Parts: sequence; C-alpha cells; structure tokens
Amino acid sequence: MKKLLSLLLIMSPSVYAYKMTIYTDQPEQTKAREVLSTFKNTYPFNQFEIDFEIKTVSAGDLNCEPYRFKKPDGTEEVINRNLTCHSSNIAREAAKNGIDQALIVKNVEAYGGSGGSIPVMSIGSPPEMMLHEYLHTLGLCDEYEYKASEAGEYCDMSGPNMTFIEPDPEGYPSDAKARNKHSDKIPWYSFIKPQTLITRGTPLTLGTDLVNNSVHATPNSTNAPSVMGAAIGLYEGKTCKNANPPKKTWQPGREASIMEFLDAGLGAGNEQLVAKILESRGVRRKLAEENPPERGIFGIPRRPKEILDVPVNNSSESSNSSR
Amino acid sequence: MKSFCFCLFFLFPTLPAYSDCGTLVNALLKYDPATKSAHFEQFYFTNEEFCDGGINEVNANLEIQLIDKGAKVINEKNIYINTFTMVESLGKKTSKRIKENHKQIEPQFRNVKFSIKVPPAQIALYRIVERSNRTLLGTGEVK
Repeated sequence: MKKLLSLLLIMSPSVYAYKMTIYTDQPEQTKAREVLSTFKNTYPFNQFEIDFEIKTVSAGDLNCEPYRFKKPDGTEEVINRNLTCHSSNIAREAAKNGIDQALIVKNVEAYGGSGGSIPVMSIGSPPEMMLHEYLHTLGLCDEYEYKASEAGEYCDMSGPNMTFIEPDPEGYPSDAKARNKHSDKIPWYSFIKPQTLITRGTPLTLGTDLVNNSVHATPNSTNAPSVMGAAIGLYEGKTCKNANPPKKTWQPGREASIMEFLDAGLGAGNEQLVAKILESRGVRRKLAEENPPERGIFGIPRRPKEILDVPVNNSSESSNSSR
Repeated sequence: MKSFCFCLFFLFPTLPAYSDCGTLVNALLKYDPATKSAHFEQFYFTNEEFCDGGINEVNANLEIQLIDKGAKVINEKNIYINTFTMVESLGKKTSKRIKENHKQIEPQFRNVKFSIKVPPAQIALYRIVERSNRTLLGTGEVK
C-alpha cells in the first residue's frame, strides 16, 4: 500500500515541501537549532512536510531593537526585555528565495519575542517561545489573562482558538438547544464530539467546564494527537475578564496551553486547529507516519474506546499533566 | 488492474486537492495597518512547476486576485496575515509564563505563492480586498 501511495505521489502533479527558514545573528546558531528541534518534535508540525533551514545573517539585516512606545504624557519608554524587529529586509530575502515562512532568532539575552507575520524570539528565551509566537502568526490568540490595558487592545478580536459568546441569562433547556444557538460562533465546533456536552449544571449554563490554569496540557512529541486531558469542548477562559466591560471568552481545551505557559503543550484542540490551518496553507502531510495511530473513517486517528466513552464533565486530568 | 482501480477510487478523495497547478510566482505582500492598505512590493517569477494547495486558508482575512489584460480574474486566493505585532515577554528569565504584551502597529510582510497558468506578460493587475467588509486595500500592476 505504501508503494502504491508513493507511486501515486510521483505520478501526481508536482507538490512541494513548505519552507521555513530561521534567520539568526547568533554565529553558532545554538538557539536556532533548539527551535528547529522543538518544531520537529512537536505534534502536529512533525506530521507535515516542512523543510527547515537555518541562515546566519548580520544584526543589521535583522534590524531588531528593544520595544519603544510613547506614554500618554508624550515621553518615550524603552523596555529592554521586549524585542521587536523591523523585518522588511528578511521578508524580501525570504520571498526572493521562495521561503514560505521566515522566523527570527535574535542574538540578545532579553527574554521575550513577538508574534507578527514573522515571529521573533531572543536567545534568552526558551525555544517554545517561537512555537507560541508562530501560533500567533497562524492567527491563534493568547489564552492568558490580559491586564486591563491589554484587554482594551485585544478583546475585540477572536481567533481560531478563542471566541466571545455571551451565554443566555435564562440558561438552556438542553445541550442541543445550546449547540443550535452557538455552534456557528465556535470556530472549533467540528472538533467537539457529539458526546461532549457544551453545557453543565442545573439549570443548564453554557460551557463544558472552566479552563483549569493550574493544569498544563502535556507537550506532545508523538505522531498522534493528544489523548491526555479533557476532551475538546467549550471551556470558559479568563483572557478578557479585565476588559471594560468584562467579556466571556471560550477556548477548546480545559488545560492551560502553550498560548499561556511555555512549558505546556498545544492541547488537543489547538493541535487540531494548527493541523487544519497548515493543511489550508497547502502544507502537505507526510505520507508514512512512524508508528501510525490506528485510523478510523476519513483517516481520523481512532482513540481508545474508554477515552471516547468518558463523560467530559467528569473526565480526569492526565497524570502526566504538570501542576 | 481491478484492485488498482478499486484503490484509486478510495484513495483519490483522500489526497490533498491541488486544484491549481502552473508556474510558481512568489510575491511579497506588505500590509500596512496604520493606513489600512496593502500592496505587493515585488513579484518573483520562476520556471518552477507549482500546485497551489493553499488557496483558501483558515481564518483568511484578505482576498487576492490576479487579473489579466482582458480584465478576467485568473487567480484568486484567500489568505491570512497578521494585522499587527504582539510584543511579548516572560515575567522573568526563568519564568515560563507570558506576562507582558504590547500591541505594535507596524507593516506586516508575507510571501504569497501563486500558481500561474498564463505567461507572466498576460497578467496585468492585482487586487487586495479585506474579506470582512469588502474594502479594497490595494490594487496595482503586476511587473
């Protein structure tokens, strides 16, 4: 079967591997190599045909500086731990060479990064910082609690992993009615299994559960989607609770993900979202997975029946989940 | 042969839909949130064959059209580009928690790949439209 697949691929119109290039001004490229290894060992990136490359460039090419901003009184403040790169040079170089995605690792001991169309991190940050920033590049939102000033800036924008829904104050007569009413506002709705409730309590209120920030999604370096933790559902977050007025935010996972803590994994919901986004960008899946999971209809990995059958509201955290 | 056809019947629907094959063009898109405008800085024509499997991206916020000299749309893509930069840092160097966030309004760049079926000289214009409100963000010559 594998031979047949390979034959078909050769016969099919030319396809290409997605090209991601890490530009760094660190001569020994140590941090860039850590970043590359992190991508290669993180699901779902490890399931796609991605050609990674590291290029050493000059500090001038990267054109990075500490973050500067004007305060309301007109004075300028410089925050050295925040990093920003004016990356037009890198963008031009990347486009000229047919690179799909440029990333920047800056040789400075600050501990931060930035998530724009070209994700940036400093060598003083852990490599997972780049994963976090790249997920911003793909459009994913932060899942941590914004300060009031930050909430004012960001809490008018939803994303593939975060939505704003004001629950019906009267409650819901059934889970099905809640689904009918809100499904079109949940970008990950297709990942929520029929047996996973999006309401709870008596009378029924909206939400599979609250996000539990003390439990972190387990980083997943396997070749299969995460099976640890709670099922994908509609979990109430706290990202915009300091907005004025406060706004209810909802996420696909109950555990805190890498969009809040860098030692957390993507979480099952974000994994599926990222895979869907990469596919929609034309990134091809690897043909033969090592240790492929058992697949059910439509090629979706089959999960053990005992996991499928666990009622979501009562599902227990994984023993591997930290904190 | 029968089993081969049988396999093909079930296999082809599962292969990615590379609906748009032609010659590769890399184009550097610049989106400027300050002026709410977008344009292509440069087109890089190649001789490489390319099948575009990314014509309708999840969360797409821009619609891009290439138009020929007869005013016919010959290529159309829906893509996502960040509209600003999030500048973030950890509370302290040993921390794993993102703690600080500043929004930076600055130009965003992205390499957009097109699969072109006509000679480059036949492509006249491009149009970039914001999908949410159909605002024209930019138009220009393809050269």
